[in-house]
Amino acid sequence: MISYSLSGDIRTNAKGTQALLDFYSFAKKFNDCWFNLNIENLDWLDGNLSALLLKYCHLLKSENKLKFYIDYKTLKGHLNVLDRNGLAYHIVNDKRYFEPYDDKDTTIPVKAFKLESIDSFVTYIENALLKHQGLNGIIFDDKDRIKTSYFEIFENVGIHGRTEYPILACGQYFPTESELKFTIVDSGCGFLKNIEEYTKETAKIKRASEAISWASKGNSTKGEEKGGTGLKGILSYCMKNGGALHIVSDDCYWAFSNRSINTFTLKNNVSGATIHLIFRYLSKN
Amino acid sequence: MSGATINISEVIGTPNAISQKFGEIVYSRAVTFIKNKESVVFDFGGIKNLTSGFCNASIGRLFLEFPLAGNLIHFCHLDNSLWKEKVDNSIHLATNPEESKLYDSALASLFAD
Repeated sequence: MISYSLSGDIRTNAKGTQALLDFYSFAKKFNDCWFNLNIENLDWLDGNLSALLLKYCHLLKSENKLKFYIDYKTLKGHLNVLDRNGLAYHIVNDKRYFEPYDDKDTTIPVKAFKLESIDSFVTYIENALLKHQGLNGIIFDDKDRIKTSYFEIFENVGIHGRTEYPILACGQYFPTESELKFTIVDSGCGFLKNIEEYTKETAKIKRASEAISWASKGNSTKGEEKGGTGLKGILSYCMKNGGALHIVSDDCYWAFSNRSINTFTLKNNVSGATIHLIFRYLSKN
Repeated sequence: MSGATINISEVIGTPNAISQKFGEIVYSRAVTFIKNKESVVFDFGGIKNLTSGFCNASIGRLFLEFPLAGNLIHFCHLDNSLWKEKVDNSIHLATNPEESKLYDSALASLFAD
């Protein structure tokens, strides 16, 4: 059996994303075989990154016909979050030992949405995310704006993403840090392709970091029919409430936090976009 | 006066008016009446969620194509202040295209060189 070890700390940042990309790049070399995802040496994985890891495993299953194995005994301590949020259940071929059940109520389960499953996505955002105990301290108006922003983002994937693959989402509440991290992932064409084409006579955007910034300001490639409010809405929320917004597309990890933007270059990124929203300064329940 | 009341949730078959595709359906339902100078009432009764994308593709598009149709287009059960803001914004964007780049000062300073 082919084996790959995830190790150390994998968190919601450029280094964590690169670690998961390195796994995908390695696994992509194999076809039609069993694959052991070894987490014995993994100290920490932010649970919300399950959406990203599931995307890679889904691609490897469908395109490379890999069959995944995870040693259930290694899902202990903090890592049992990968069982509680449903990631292990969705990845492994033998599901007998994996039954997602979150007795700590800190996870927002990993879930896939087809682009036509709008109502299902609405229910997930309204219930699994916005009614989570981790967001009890957020006022109703802000919750209303956040959910509307996510609906716009979901809609934009359908219009711009040019993909039939599902959108994946997952969240994790970290009560000790008073943070909740929510991740949404698609397998579309990312930001740069469409925005480079749309701006070729105007802003002439050529780099992924510029494309992400352009989209975050509220711009849209929808032309006369205006749009593009989803990311701008999320960014505005973060600016007002001290949260963080990270966007990954093409070769760029774009991160807004503490009123500044930083970008990092990724190697061997997979087509599509990832959006992480980090709610901060939540009240402790 | 002839015209129509369009119950949005019934027309799109869901209480979640959040997609551009749904906006286009509502637009198609209303445009014939507007072309014939007949009034249209958009009934938001039954709606649970509403996005700018939907408003721009439906109401905004009507105002874009028929700038003088303001006296033909009416709304009922539009009680949610956030939704009213979205509807108003879609009308404003359609009737003031030179202001289409909405940009608060805080965002502007974030992206300034």
